[in-house]
Amino acid sequence: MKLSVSSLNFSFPTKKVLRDVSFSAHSGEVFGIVGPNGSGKTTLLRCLRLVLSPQGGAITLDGEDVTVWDRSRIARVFGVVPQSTTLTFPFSVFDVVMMGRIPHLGRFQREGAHDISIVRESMRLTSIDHLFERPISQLSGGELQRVIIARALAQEPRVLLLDEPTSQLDINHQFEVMKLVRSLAVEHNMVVIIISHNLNLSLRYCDRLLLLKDGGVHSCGASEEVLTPDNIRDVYGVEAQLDYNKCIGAHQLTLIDAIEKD
Amino acid sequence: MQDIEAYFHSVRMYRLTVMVGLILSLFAVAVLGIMVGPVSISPSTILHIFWMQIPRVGDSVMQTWPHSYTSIVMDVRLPRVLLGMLVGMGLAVSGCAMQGLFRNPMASPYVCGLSSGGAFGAALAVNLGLAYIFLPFFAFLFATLTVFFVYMISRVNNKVPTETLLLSGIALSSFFSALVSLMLYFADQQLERIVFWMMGGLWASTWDKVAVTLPLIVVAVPLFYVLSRELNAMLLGEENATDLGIKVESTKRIILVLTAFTVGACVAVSGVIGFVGLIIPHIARIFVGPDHKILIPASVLVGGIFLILTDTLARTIIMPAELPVGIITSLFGVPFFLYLLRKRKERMGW
Repeated sequence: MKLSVSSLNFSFPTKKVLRDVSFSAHSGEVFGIVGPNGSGKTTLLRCLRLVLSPQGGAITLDGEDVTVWDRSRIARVFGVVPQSTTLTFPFSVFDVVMMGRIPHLGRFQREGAHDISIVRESMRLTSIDHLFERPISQLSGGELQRVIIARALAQEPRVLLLDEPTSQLDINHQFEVMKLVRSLAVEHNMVVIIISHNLNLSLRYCDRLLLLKDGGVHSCGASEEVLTPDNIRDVYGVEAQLDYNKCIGAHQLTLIDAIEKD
Repeated sequence: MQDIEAYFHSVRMYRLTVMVGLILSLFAVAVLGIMVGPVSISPSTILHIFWMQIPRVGDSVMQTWPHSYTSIVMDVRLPRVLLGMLVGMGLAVSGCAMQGLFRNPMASPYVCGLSSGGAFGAALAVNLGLAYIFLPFFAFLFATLTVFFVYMISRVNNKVPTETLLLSGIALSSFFSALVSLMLYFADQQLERIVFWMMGGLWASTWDKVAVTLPLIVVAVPLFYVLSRELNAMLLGEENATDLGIKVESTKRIILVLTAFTVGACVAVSGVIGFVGLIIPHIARIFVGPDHKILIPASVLVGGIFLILTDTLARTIIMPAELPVGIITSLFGVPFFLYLLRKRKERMGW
């Protein structure tokens, strides 16, 4: 399966956010989107699932035009872990994950045994099955993020979009979430697109990266070919060194210093 | 730890129990409301009077009570209890939907300008010297107009941000309150009627009023219930709801229209009864949690129970005179609510 984006443009009334963005992400790989604040990462992810309507450009899934789909159909194909979710209400974990079934249920249809078994499986995959009765208002950050991922999985999506799922988490939970995302891509053959601020985690867990600068594609390709010292200097204005780390079997960046501007 | 199916089942059982309990309480409270008053009428007499109303079957009933009791029950107390129930239900379900929609614990028909708009309509009708029958119609009209006005003002780029919606509602609410006060200031002889309208009350409840409100509530409540899945998803944020396939903006519009009709129907027959729309959903939330699938029916029933009770109090506390029920709802409802708020705050989520 392949999600292709070509010549995507998007502007807010006063600001052009995305310029001519093109890339494609394949099932079985983790595709990362990186770039500085304000480079258009979140807007791009919103355009992909038509929360914002792109002004020109095409989005296709296996050649099928996604932009003409209605909301419910989009929700059956795109599972989303958004940047923020209001989690102050004491819904149980089970209730929240069950909300992932909404796009599959008819208006007057009740949740049935089939839905329960999908919810159960989603909670098992994200290792939150022991928490199912707990109110989400009492969970830790790492647990919450997994609940939201489980909800997205309950949508039975073919494409999983994650907007900085690790930004609020402790390092141990960051690894957990990234490993989970990786296994979903590889074992469940989903298209996984993830926005990340953490360049080293991206180098380790993403197969390919899209580096955005000012709303345009700066570079796109294998992770270690995108996050080169030259590109980092160019996009972030930071001096960096890229080395292969034998211990973890991936390239890692050492960030040296911000480059002085005149 | 229990299995998921067992949990699913136990949640359904708990909800069923709550609903059965609330329905029984509603009946009990309704009977109580018909019993008490300047003359006390026993439950068995009430039952016999009801029985007598059934054509043919009722003819066999032996009348052992003063003739006036039949008319007290059938023409005075029953319509009043029914109207109280309907208004309580309508205000509570509207408040419940608005709080969910706006993800704001302070949202209520009152805050959003609906009630004040309705009161203004009523006061206007009085001031224009229109016949009494125009009064509910004007209240209804202005409540609906207010919602649309608030909605239009808050619309930015075809979206309606919750914050602006609430703020413009509060602003418009103050504006209409000021207009009503202005009219009060100038309307000398009609003053009493307007004041009563503003305080809210169920005096002079007639079958006509029941006939106006009943169909609207009977239609609106199931419609609100049908939207409970949308309301749940929207509690997690509008973007989340969109990602779950919900058309957020059109859902907002539908709920606003429904609320306007429901509140209009209530204000039209009872004036501005404050606080019911605000506190009843919170009380229900404390006991059944945030899931609208149970929260909406529970709010409806608690609203009905609450308003019958407070109205019964309002008309018996200084017998033979009576107080506007709006005073009682606040005087007794607020301390009770504050007590619950203090004790069970974490279960509400706000």
